[in-house]
Amino acid sequence: MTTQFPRIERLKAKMSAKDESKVGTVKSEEDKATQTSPPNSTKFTNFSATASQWEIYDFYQEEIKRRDQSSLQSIKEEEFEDSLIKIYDIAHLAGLARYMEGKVFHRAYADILYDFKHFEDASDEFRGEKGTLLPLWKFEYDKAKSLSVTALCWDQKHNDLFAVGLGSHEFTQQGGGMLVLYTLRNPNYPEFIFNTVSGIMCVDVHEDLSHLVAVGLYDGCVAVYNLRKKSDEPFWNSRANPGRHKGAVTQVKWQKDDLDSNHNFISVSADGRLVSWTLVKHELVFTDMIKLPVPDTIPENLKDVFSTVGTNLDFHKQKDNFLVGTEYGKIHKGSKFYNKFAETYDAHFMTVTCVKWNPFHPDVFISCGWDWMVKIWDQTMKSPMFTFELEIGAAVTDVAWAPYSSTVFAAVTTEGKVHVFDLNINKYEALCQQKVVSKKTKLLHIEFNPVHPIIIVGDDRGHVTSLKLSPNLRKKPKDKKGQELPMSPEVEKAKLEQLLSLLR
Amino acid sequence: MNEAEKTIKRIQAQKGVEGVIVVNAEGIPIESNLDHQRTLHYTYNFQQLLARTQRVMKDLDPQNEATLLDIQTEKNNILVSTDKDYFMIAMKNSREGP
Repeated sequence: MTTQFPRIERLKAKMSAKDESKVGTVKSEEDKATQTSPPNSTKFTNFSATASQWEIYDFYQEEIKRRDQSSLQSIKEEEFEDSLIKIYDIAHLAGLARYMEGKVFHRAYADILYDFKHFEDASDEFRGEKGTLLPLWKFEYDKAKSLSVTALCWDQKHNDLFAVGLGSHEFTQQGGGMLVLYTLRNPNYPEFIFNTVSGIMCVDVHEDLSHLVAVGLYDGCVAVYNLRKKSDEPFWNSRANPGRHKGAVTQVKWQKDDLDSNHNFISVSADGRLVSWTLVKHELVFTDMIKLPVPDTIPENLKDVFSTVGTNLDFHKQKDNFLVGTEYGKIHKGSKFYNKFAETYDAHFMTVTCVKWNPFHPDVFISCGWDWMVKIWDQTMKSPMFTFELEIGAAVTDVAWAPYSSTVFAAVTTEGKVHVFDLNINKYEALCQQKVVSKKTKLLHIEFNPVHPIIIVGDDRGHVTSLKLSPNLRKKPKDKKGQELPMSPEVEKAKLEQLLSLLR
Repeated sequence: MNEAEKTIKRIQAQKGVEGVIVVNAEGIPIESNLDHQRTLHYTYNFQQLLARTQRVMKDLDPQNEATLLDIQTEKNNILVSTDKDYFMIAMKNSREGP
């Protein structure tokens, strides 16, 4: 009996079950798509390229080269990683960045660049024989503010590069020093900077191998920097050398390579010695050349104790003669191969600050000193051919011959003035006497650029100013017909010889 | 900071310089002091202009190639310099500059 009920109940349950089936509406087909935005936008790149004939050719050439080189090697994993880092690294862009810095600077100061390249002062025609100096760029390095410019030297090969030695002449203000090289292509910031322990007193850039720069320091060391090496330290240093100077090195000059093809230079110092240094592999080998004579006022037995401070040194271009100026106001002429001095000139009453041979005439040299005078000499005569007293009370700190004329020279004084003379035009007066720095700034050095008509002057604030010479200061000699003669050493020598013969 | 970065900072500090962008061989700006949008905008446009310019120079003389492009506009002055695959853009406001 119980079995019947479940069956009916089951049937009832079945019958009463709700019909839950439905007929749903069929929607029309719909396309649905999603798109994600590109992930980190910096990694998403656009690539575009063109395929022109030269591009295809270049690519094939490179591909052939690459296949020849790496046919046996496969790229190692480290190289792969390196190349990845390289893509995001700008360290090797230093060259491009420097180029850009120079271009941006010259674009901003385009007027100065134009003046440098093209400007010729037309008003010189109305000024008689006088000329002017046009200020161009000023070279400043903020870390050199407390230092004075102690040396200037143009690179003979790269005519837009010059070296500045920074230090101090004052005994009481000795700190560190710097060797800084600027290029006219980027006056904003130096091209090379080297810090030194002691102040730099002199700089000379090798004439042919302009990556070798010799410096002399206040503490008596000489050092040679190799600009091709990327290091802060000089490549050769005389610090540990037994031949090192015991006084400040006042001048260094490169010489021609010796018989073993070694580079060498000669230095003069406050200890009175002239020493020749030869670069042998990684060492500096010294040779004592000559000692400056001590004046007769000092008793015989003390002559070894006292030393004559050599202040300046210049070598003749053709002969082996050289000139040394001293603190006693004398100039000694000697030869590289003799132990004694050939001649002594009583040049100035006070320290001789500069002595330079004339680049064209083999017998002529110029000297200047603290006694306000500039004197021009013929080496065969004991007294000067020309004497100029520049300014009362202003010591003459440096003088330089112009590379384009045997009769043009320029001098700088502690009053901040530049004096330019052309003996061919006026034998008694300067053609230009111009103050180029602000008050109370002393000018310490001057150099003519080998090719461009500009001069650079260094002052005691660590600044270097470049100035353009106006046409009247660059006059070329004219022949009988009134036409300008082409520049040649013989013409220049003859010009000066003519002037001197009138005085003899 | 290495030399290249120091130099780029100095360029940015020069009077009147609004922006400096360094773009690498793949066209990605790796250094810039402008906002992102502008950087990409300039990069994209100058990449094309530079490619065009190089094509013109090579067409005129296969040994020669452009090293600096200097564009003077009404409002500013743009310098683009290239070195193999990299290039650098510097923009100066010509009214502000000296």
